[in-house]
Amino acid sequence: MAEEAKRRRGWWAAAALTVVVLVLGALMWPRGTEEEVPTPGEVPVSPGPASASGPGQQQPPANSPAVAPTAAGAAASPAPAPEPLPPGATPAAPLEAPPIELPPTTQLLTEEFFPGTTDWEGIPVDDSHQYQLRILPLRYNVVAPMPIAVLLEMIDRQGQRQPLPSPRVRVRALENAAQPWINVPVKDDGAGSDAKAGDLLYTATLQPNAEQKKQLLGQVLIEGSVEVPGAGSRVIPSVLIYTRGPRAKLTGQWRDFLRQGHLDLEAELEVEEAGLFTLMAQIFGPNQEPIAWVRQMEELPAGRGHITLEVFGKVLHDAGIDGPYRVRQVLLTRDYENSSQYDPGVTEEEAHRTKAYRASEFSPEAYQPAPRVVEEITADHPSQRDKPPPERTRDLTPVTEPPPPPAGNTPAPGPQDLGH
Amino acid sequence: MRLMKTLVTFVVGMTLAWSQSAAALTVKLDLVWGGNGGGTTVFIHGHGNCVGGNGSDSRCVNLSYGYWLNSTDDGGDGHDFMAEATSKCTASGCTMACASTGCSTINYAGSWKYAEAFAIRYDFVNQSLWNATNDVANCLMDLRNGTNNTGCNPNRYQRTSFRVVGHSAGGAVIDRIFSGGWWPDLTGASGAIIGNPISDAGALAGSRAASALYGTDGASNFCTTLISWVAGWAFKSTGNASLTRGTLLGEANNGKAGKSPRWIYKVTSAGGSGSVNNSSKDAIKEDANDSKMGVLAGCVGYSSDDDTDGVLWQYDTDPTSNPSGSNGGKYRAQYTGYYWHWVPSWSNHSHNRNDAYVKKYGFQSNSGCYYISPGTCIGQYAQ
Repeated sequence: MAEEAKRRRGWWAAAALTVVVLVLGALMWPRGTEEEVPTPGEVPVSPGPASASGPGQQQPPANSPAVAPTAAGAAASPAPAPEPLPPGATPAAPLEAPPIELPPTTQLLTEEFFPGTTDWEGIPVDDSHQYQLRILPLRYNVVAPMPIAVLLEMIDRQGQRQPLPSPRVRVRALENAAQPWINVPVKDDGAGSDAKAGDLLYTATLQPNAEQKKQLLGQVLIEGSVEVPGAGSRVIPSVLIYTRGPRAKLTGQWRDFLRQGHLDLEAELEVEEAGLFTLMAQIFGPNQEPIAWVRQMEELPAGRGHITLEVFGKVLHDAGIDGPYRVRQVLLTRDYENSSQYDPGVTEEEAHRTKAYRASEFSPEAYQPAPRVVEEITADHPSQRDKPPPERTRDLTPVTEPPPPPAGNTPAPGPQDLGH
Repeated sequence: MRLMKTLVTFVVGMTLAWSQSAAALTVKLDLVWGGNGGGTTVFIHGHGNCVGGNGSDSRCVNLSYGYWLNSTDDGGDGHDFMAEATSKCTASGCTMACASTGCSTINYAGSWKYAEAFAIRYDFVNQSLWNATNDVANCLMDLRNGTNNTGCNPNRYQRTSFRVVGHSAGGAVIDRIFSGGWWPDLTGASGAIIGNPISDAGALAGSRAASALYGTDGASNFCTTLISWVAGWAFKSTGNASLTRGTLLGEANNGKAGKSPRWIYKVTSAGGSGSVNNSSKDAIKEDANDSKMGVLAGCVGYSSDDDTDGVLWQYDTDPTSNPSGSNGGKYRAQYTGYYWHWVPSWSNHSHNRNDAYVKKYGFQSNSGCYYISPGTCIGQYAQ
């Protein structure tokens, strides 16, 4: 009996403790409960422009962690400790972007970048992350008959290259997974595209034959891989563009002139096959001070033609750098109507040097977009009235009852993980 | 902490298109919600195949708005991001139906203006960013012209002006539409896309981590054995490869990415612990995929922003920056376009849900919105 009574007392104590914990938990539960989520009508609104809680002011310091809980942590109960209010816990107006003062064809440049190239990719190859496998296409834009060349290396934490264990490279058309891979020999013998023998920077070079050329034109998927002893294979991807080029070329003849406060750069082209072309360039001061990136898209017939790049006056005026201006990193691409596919040419690093304009000669006026000229057709337009109605309908009547609560906060077991 | 930061960072990436072969099925356009004079908004989903076939998701294949629902099968409440993001409170006194259990996104009282909502469904699993962009942009052209050239618009709906909202890799599609200049009838001064395009929870596209995922497929791989879920992902895919860091930087160098001439408004993570999971306030499994990808990022040893930041990445130190000012963001030379760090929210990256947190925390007034719920701000300030 004594044992029974003791056990009963123990149950009561446990139950009481549970109640206390639950009450404390409820009291300490952070925001998100009924009394802390004001109904909209009761919300004190901060009207007007962005307050201190605007996005511009609310960013955490650079080292501030943005933490995704682990999968296990995500399902756990929230921590009961009070927390500071998160950004946006009170309504505010987000900060709007300033007006854009340059046209779509001129953008501010703060550092040179290099068309036709890309950057190294790297993945670790071992559990301790001692070594990294890296890959880089020698050129991102490969204009036939140039060879496709890919650099492969493995570096340690000090950046020292290491011998590659059983390196392999293979390529195929990106958009055609059914296409067979083409294996490309990987060498470090200083021959062909490999710059130096024995430097542990390996090069895979493919000079496509006619059949391979036909297969590969377009985007090319590259896989580099090594066999890590005891660990298995490690694969790293890369992509490049293999192209016949724009079937047009710059002749090297340029004219530059001041027009309506802007700097016009007229480039002469020899067009082999009529089409749509984009010319882009980077504009620098005489000492290679970066100023602007510009581009122009034009339809051109076959034969001799011109594309004029306009460097919007304000960007030159505001830079305050006098000419002569250098026209660098020039790329011509053949584009296609209603398609984001394109055929790039070879980048010209230094294409033209302008006359010695003074920055003050250019207009300081901001860009004004052309007025919108469209006969608007909306859902109310007579042509749209007989169309099928929307799939869903909003209930526009006031709601007196709150919506029913969800079944609970505990997530149902996910029947399907789509891996998104 | 640094690792944890990486985890979050990595999260978004999985918006990527992980695909296998280029076999685009018909893109689809559906009118989901009607409006009352508030204009038109077109919603562009992220990674996923919503038209059927390899890697398709029946929830969005069978339901035009399936992608945008806060799915009940992973703890959500069935609310609809599209409804919230097309609703605008226009005068004081307007209310959403709210209680402790949440705010209805359908039942409103007071003065509200609604945009009608169209959803585009396409295949961003079996084809690259290039072709996915072509599908989406040409379908938008069909909407602009009242045509059905792509097969997406059999009803020949016509709207000459509309706004666009992209989630996850849908933002990368929007970036490509704007950066290349290939569709002036959409992006020009008289183009059909008006206002500032929205990139909600932007993708990891263009980051080093995206590249790593491709490579972590080896037999007995130390990462994939940790996360069986990852092994089920379609590695070595067309879409994946088209969104790796090297590819996106190559495209940006060629002037075809990161060059938007119009401000793209980025709805990002607020940062901070649990910020992609409702600040850990609810045991909703909305971050499930994010967490798994985070674990993978940690597994492959990535720890810096540069490893995981992409062109429209949702984290607060994302790299897309414009010299004219982007309201924050890291600098990257070839991203000369306009990307505005707009709203730091509790956005996350689950692709089968809405922002999830509207039900408890998201509502707007006529002069403010709750940043934590991206839909409220999109509804109030981007419609």
